[in-house]
Amino acid sequence: MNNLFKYILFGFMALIFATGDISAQGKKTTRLQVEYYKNHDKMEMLIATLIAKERRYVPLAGAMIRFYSVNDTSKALLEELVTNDEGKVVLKINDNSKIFYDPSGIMTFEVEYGGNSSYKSVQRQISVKRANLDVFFFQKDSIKSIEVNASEIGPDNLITPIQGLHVRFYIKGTFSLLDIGKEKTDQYGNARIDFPVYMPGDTAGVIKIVVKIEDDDDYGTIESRGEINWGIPVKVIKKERRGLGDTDAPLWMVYTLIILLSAVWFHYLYVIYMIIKIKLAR
Amino acid sequence: MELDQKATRTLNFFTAQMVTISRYGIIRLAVLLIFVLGGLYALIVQIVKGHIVTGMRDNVVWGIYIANFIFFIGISYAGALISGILHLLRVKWRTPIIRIAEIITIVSTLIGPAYILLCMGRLDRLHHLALYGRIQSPIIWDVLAISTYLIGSIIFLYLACIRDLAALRDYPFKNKWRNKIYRFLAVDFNDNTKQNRYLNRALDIMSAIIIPLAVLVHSVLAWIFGMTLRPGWHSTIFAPYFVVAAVFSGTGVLIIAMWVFRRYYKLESYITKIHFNYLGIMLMILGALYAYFTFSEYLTSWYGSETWDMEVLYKLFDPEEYWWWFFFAAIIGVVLPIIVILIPKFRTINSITAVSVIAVLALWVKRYLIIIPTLETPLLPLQDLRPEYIHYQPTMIEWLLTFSGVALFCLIFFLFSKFIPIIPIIKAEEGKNYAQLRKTVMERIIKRKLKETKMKESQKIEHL
Repeated sequence: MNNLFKYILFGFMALIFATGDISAQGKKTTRLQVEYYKNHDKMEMLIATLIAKERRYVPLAGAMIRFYSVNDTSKALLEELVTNDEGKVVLKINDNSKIFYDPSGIMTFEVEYGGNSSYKSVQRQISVKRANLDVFFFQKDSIKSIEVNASEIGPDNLITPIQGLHVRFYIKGTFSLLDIGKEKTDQYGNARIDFPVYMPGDTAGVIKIVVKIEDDDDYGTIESRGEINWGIPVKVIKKERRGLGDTDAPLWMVYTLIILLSAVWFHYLYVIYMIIKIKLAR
Repeated sequence: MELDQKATRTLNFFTAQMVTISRYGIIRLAVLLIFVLGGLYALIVQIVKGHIVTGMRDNVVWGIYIANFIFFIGISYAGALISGILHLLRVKWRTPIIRIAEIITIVSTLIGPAYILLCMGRLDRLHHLALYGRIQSPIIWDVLAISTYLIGSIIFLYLACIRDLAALRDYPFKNKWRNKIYRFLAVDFNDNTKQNRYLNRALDIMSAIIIPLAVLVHSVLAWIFGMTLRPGWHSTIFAPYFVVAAVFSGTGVLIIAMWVFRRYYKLESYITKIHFNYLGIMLMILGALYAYFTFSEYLTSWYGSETWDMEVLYKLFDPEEYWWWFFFAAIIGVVLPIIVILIPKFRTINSITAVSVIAVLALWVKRYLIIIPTLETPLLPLQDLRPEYIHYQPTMIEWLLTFSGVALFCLIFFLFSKFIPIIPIIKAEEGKNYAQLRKTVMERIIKRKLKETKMKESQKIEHL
């Protein structure tokens, strides 16, 4: 009996250790993508996306991501944030006093996911220089053009033009961006393209121009916007279509119907009340 | 409830007919039942095999079911309008015809919408209309309007029957269940002043409500067509056109019903030639109005020469397609009633009834012509040129269901007449009875004169 108990105990313990070993081996691979993005409101942010390999790579929601600013000697924790359903987390870094700058004005960030019992840890480093992108509109005679100026913000906020930077020009549509050209900045940091005067704008002819430096190795993604009424004004014609089964009848019709029917039903109720009174007046 | 001699005689006359049925009556009832059962069989076939057993296809999606629906709703409208207006105007000669008109309203409002259900592919989802119906949809408006109208018509008929129900309650029927039902429905009415006041008030309200409601219901139905961008439908005058056509056909049905009940219930002393004449003149005026609307409708379509409108008109004017139907519906069915009723020599009870039959049939054909030729004229060319996709042909199933609807109409009407006298027994006191008033005044004057004479004589005696 004692031997039987001993074998069961050993067997059970062996099972526990074996299970633990299996779970350690089964941790899933994770990947972290980090992007520096400066939007048209000059808001600087780090966007981290965490994905994990299930059958294919899928966003990992609810994971804790740590953002550090690093230099050769130090590492400062900026913030800890949890990923959303898309596996994304955004850290706004404007005027953060904890950020280190090297002598040439480069910021280096380390982004880290610590992992857990199911997912492996992962970390990424990204270094960027701060830059500005400004958009202007020029008209000379009948020629209209869009110009951008790209400049680097060095230590002590020293501004220097960036030469040879690829800038893309877009028109903002309702749902997407329409690519209208690409140009390289000159020695003054300027790039210019002709304004597409044939494009339809809104009812006042206003067109929104978006210029971007996209995923640059040194400057990340920077976006700037401007708008001007150089487009062709569009007359909006609201097309109304109504069918029998449609459920978009004008509200005044619905209210009229409800009021009319309510009036009729009120009278029905009153008549029923009269019938009750007839019974009571016997 | 106390009845005068005349009312008692009328009550005895009608109750005798209500509790008995002649041999011919049984045969007629059996024939009607056979038709109704035939319709039931057709309905089962349609449910089991689907709409493939009808002539409706992808292109012509509506057939005679919708024509029947419009036809019955039209008839119902006339009943409501005639009884409502005649009641409000206190027209004296209305009494013998008003109840027939009210019953027509209810029976046709019950049967008409059933044809919509026959058009629907998934009757098992009918309850979704109540569960998921959206008030923003015009289809729901039609459902609400027709339901409201039906309930209003039932209340109106019930109110108009309360006096008779009270008389029937006190009648010694052999079958006690009748008395029980009449007792329940009569709401203890015993003709006292208060009860009469309440009842008259309720009747006035319902008469006033039912008229605009009937116009609204039929207008909503017309707008379903008028607001659809199809040739032959998209018309601004469709609502009044439908209303006039409805009253025209409904008056015709009322005349036919009067003729049938007069003949088979021996009501010659109640429904007289004067009633046929009045209603005949009404039919004639409505026929003229209907003719005016028809002319206006087709003239504007034809003169406008819009491609798709012309396609429909060519179909209507083509002898190989719909010309003869159109000729019957738009010309014979209108002109003949007008001529027969206009010339006093031709104006007899039978001739008025005969032209009413023609008018009613013409109006049914008219509803058919509103629906089918338009649907046979699609706005885009047809890809599949199978003949049944281009031309609609009603099948035996559809005809069976149509005739069973008519049979059911007659059957319910017949059953009504076995439960409620087809002519009101008790007349309501309306307004002032001037004869009585004159009599009272005269009596007072005579009394005063007598008193004065007596006084003078007594004074003379005292003086002497």
